[in-house]
Amino acid sequence: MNNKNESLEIKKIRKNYLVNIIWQWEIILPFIFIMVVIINSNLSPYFLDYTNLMNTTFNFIEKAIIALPMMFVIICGDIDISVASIIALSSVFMGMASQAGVNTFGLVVIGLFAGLAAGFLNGFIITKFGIPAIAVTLGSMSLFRGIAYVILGDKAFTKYPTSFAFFGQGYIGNTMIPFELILFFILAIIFGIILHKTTIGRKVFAIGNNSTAARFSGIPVNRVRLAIFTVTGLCSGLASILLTSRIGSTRPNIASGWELEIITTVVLGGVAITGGKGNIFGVVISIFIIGFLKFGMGLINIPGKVMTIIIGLLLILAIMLPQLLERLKPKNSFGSRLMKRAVFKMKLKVGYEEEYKKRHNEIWPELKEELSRAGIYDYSIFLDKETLTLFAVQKLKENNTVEKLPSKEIMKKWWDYMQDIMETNPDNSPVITSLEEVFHMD
Amino acid sequence: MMELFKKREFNLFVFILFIIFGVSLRTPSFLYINNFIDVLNDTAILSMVAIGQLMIIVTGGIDLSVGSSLALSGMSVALLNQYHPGIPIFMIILISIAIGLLLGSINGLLVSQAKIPPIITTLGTMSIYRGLVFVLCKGTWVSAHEMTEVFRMFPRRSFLGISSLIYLSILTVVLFLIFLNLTRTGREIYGVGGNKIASQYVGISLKKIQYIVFTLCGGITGLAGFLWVARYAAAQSETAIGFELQTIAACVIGGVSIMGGSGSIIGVVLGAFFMGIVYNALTMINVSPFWQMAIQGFIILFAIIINTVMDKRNQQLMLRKRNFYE
Repeated sequence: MNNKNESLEIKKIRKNYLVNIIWQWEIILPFIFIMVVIINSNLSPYFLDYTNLMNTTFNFIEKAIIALPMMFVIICGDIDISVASIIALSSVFMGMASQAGVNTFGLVVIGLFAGLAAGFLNGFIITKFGIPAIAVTLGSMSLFRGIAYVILGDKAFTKYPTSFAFFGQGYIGNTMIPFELILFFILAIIFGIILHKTTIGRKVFAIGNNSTAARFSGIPVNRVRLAIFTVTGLCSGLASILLTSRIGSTRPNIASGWELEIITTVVLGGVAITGGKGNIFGVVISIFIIGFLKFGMGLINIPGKVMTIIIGLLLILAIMLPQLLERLKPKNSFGSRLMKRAVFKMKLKVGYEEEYKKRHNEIWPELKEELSRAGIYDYSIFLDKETLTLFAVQKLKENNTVEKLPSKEIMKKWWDYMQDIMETNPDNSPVITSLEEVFHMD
Repeated sequence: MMELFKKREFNLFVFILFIIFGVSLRTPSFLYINNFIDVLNDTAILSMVAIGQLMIIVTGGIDLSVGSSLALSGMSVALLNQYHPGIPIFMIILISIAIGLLLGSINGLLVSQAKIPPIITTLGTMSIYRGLVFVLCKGTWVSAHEMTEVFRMFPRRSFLGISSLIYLSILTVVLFLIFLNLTRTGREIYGVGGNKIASQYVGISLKKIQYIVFTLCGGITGLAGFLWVARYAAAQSETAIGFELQTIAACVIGGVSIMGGSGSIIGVVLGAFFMGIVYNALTMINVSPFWQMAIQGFIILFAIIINTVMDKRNQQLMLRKRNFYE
């Protein structure tokens, strides 16, 4: 009997598992993406144009390249709000070098190295002193952009070698595919493989779920975090090269406010801000959702400031929606919201207290089986000795068949057997009064 | 006396005196009382909003939307003043506070009821409120000549040589000192930050506390919004951009633990004052204003590293003492 019950339970859990997968955020995201594309292409005939679509990626791919390592940072349970300032810092260094006549290759090296060094500094302070990442990157955010202001003031670097323009403006061969876009996809594949297919990725998830437990299981938590912050800096340096090359100039306020947009993208992509959960596909789709949404809104002349309202709403809804779904989601019978209870009272005849107890102690196994087959579990009957009221509480499974019980042979037999000691109806079934629930606590 | 030395607030105070001394060696005019009143005027709004931020950080949260809600409430009352100049100033102040309370309570509801982490909630509302400022003003400014004299001059009206701005900030400090230290709810705020789970076991409602701190911070921010646009005699869609980071910086410099559970109003006010003194000193010794941001960043990093190192040393000292007496 027990085995049967368990297998039923397992089947139900399996069913719920499938439901869980369907409700997962990463599965919902593509539909949102498709919706964005359909709505946009209905609103403007210029949206679904190959050249336009390719060219609009220029506007968000630099952010996307930082969103990839940012995903690692957030899965680890950290955050980095200094990325946009790193862009400014490394752009200023490239500008200085370019002014001094350094060639394109040299500029790329300087850009990457400046980013790497800045990211390392973040990671070093965070891990060495054990300070929360938000506090450290808040400081370095001011520091890095501040240095850019100190160097540039209100001036701008505009002199860059012609060949430097390729990174941010170039296309692959004769196609209309931007170099940046290809670079992003290559990086996305690399980051995806590292996160989901290597032990490094498993370590990142472990740290995000419980960093203390991760340390005790031998994961060099701080070294992994240091590496992640350094790579985030490196990618910010890379984004800085692309952005500087694309706009061909450096001002100290370059890329301001990007950090928040990048974090929004990552969180919208289903990465838990509390760490430990995330999926590369979610983040990549989210990048394109936000990118195309902004492009579409631009086509129908919605001002940028109004777009920020929509992005902000999207962010909050994106977090609320999975929680709402969680509430609606069917759960297995353990502590389920859909779990029902039947609570009622019956009346015992005088002097049969012991007899009632005795008969229930030797309850027929067939009856027990029938009751549990009907979906009843966790069934108790209490006796109030003063009034001889029997008080019964039973939990009912979701798809119970209790209404069919009275027609079962075994049930009738039990009632016949019990009628001499209880108050009964003409058909020998006990007189039952249902009770109203007036308080509940989980 | 030794107890006093251990206190972060005291260290910060000594550090401030040290800077004042150093700068005054080079520029004696730095020591003029008027200069200090200028600094107080410059930091009054910052220290008020930083107190709101403090309460949120103490519960383990953060509010990134203060700059935007300051701008939104400021813009609302500036427009109100422009189109209905007849509305008396105290009504304007009340409306400004009410708008702030409303914006703060939206944050509070999202955090406490919808259970969205504070950093995400306020990241979202920061964009939303900022966008709404733009929608309200349609990208234009409300400038000095469009404001009434009473509105514009309110923060400058002075009594005994001290402006109403400073009086209001002192009032805020005193009110919240009493609230945080002497009321049950105030102590519960620290309790929640110290240990969320334990505080719930002793019957503190986390939801209630979260809602209260965000709403109160909103209220202060609303008042600050009016003071800001009146003081600078301009309201625009970029008002107070990046201000949220300054308030967090004032908290961090003032020794508030970003993890929650500890931090004092005195520390935060000193933190804000410290930032004001440093900017003022930079101008005095003729350092280009472009240095401000870099120095602010450096100070934040320096302050949190010092605080963390001192904390760890104190903990070790405590452990060692205990072992000794055992």
